[in-house]
Amino acid sequence: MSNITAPTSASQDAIPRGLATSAVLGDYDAYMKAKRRRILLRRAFRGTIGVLAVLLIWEAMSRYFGIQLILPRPLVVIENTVRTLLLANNRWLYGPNIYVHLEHSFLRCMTGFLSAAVIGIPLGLLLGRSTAVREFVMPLVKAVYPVPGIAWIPLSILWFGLGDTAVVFVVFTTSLFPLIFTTEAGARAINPTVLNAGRCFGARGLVMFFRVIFPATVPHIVTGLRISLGTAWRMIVAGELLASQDGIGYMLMEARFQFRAADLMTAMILVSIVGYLTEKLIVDTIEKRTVEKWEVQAT
Amino acid sequence: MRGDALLGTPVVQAVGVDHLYEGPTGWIHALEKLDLAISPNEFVCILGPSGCGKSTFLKIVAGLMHPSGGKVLLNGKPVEGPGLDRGIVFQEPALFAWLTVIKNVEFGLEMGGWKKAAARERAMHVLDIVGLAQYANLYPYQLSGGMKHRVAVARAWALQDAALLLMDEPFSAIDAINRMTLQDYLVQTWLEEQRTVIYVTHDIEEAAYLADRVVILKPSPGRLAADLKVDLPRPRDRNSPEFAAFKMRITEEMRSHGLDPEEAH
Repeated sequence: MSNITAPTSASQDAIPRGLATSAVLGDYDAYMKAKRRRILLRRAFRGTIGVLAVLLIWEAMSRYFGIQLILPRPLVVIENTVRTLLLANNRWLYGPNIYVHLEHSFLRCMTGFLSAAVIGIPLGLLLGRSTAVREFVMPLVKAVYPVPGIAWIPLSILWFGLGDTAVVFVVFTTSLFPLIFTTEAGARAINPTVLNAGRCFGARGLVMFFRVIFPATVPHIVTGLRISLGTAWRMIVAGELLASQDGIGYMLMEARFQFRAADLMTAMILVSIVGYLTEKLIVDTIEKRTVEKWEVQAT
Repeated sequence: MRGDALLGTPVVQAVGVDHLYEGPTGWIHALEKLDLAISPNEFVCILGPSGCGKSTFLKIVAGLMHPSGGKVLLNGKPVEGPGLDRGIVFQEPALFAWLTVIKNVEFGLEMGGWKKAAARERAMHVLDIVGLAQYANLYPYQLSGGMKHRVAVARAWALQDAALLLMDEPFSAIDAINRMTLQDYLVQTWLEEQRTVIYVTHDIEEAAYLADRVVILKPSPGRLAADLKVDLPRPRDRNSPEFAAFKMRITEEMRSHGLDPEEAH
């Protein structure tokens, strides 16, 4: 064939116009491999530029205003982070080593997040599909939702005392809502004909719930999990600031008391890294095994 | 053949079916006192313009809707709800996006308690008939529109124990060329495994090509206009003078009831 026009129009990844013939483009698999590598490289390059730009502005501000005490230079913070991770931070004022803090934060975060998933997903599905449940429960959900997560902290300390349970509870209450709302919206938006197909082909009751309604809502649930996990990481720090004797949030607060901005920023960077990794590990894995396999073409 | 024992007793019998539903400004009278009896292994096309209640009737037979008045009997028993004794194909493919093609086709069989191996074999057989055996392990999004519709037909057809197949304008969203291919697949499948089919359409040519019997409805409220027997031999030739003559007969019948055959297209 000659004069193949670009298959994905208006995209910069498209085959160049005009000279493209199958002879010039060569083997399809090799072409696709090269294309994927090109896109990956481009993404990495552009992403790095964005990060570098911020680091540069940061460095400039730190030098220009001479405020290294409260805004340490990026290189200092990076060095401090590496030292901390290598357990070579020579002024460690935060009790157990960094991995113990991270582990405790991680476990609290996961406990809160997973209990939110276990309760939020079925509740969301019921809210979306059952008029009775929606009418009974939705006003309550909407009434509780505007109460900020932080506002739960004093009450949960009162209920559970200073410790893990109080923090887990706060993480749970805040990561519950995004899951409920996204799942509910997804369950409500299921194509009615697909539901009718489920009924006509013999699914009813719990079978209908698990074999049709749940999988049909998974794309929304994945989004809900992503938002919810992010919320959980935000709340874990807030909870630990006030109710814990260890964990990354405790370390943050201590670093402020000790006026150690570099340690403070290190803790923030670690939250960012661990949060990113858990999202990649949990949500991306679920997404790859479900939504991407069912409807989104891999690039 | 399955229907022999029941010969004479209708598979589907509608007795004075009346249906109203909430429209944007008032009640919509979709069906009024509809009486209809469909015999075993009959291929019936229900033809009519939009608003004649043909899809409503199909939904009532499927058990997805309860009529406001009258009743529909299925082998003598009133329809209570949807069930695996009826296969159904909707206007859109409505496949389960999270299941592969073969798992979509197996779905109803699995729900009906079929053994895994038997269900797989039956599903493969039906996919083979509609020419999709080599796509069995793909997901629906990987198929073209026409292929999705074929899977939807296969999913309904796989229900071996369902003596009744309901089809609600299944190919109306497909382009003309693909539609003809799909109609050929359908007739071929039906000739291989005879069963009762109720096929709703607004396309005169389609009705003439597929049906043993064409039931014409007229709208507002939906009522029976005409009931024609089709005596053309199968496989039918869309270009034969007999075929053209029969289409003409349907057209005239529709005109005599004040229906616009052009609009029905």
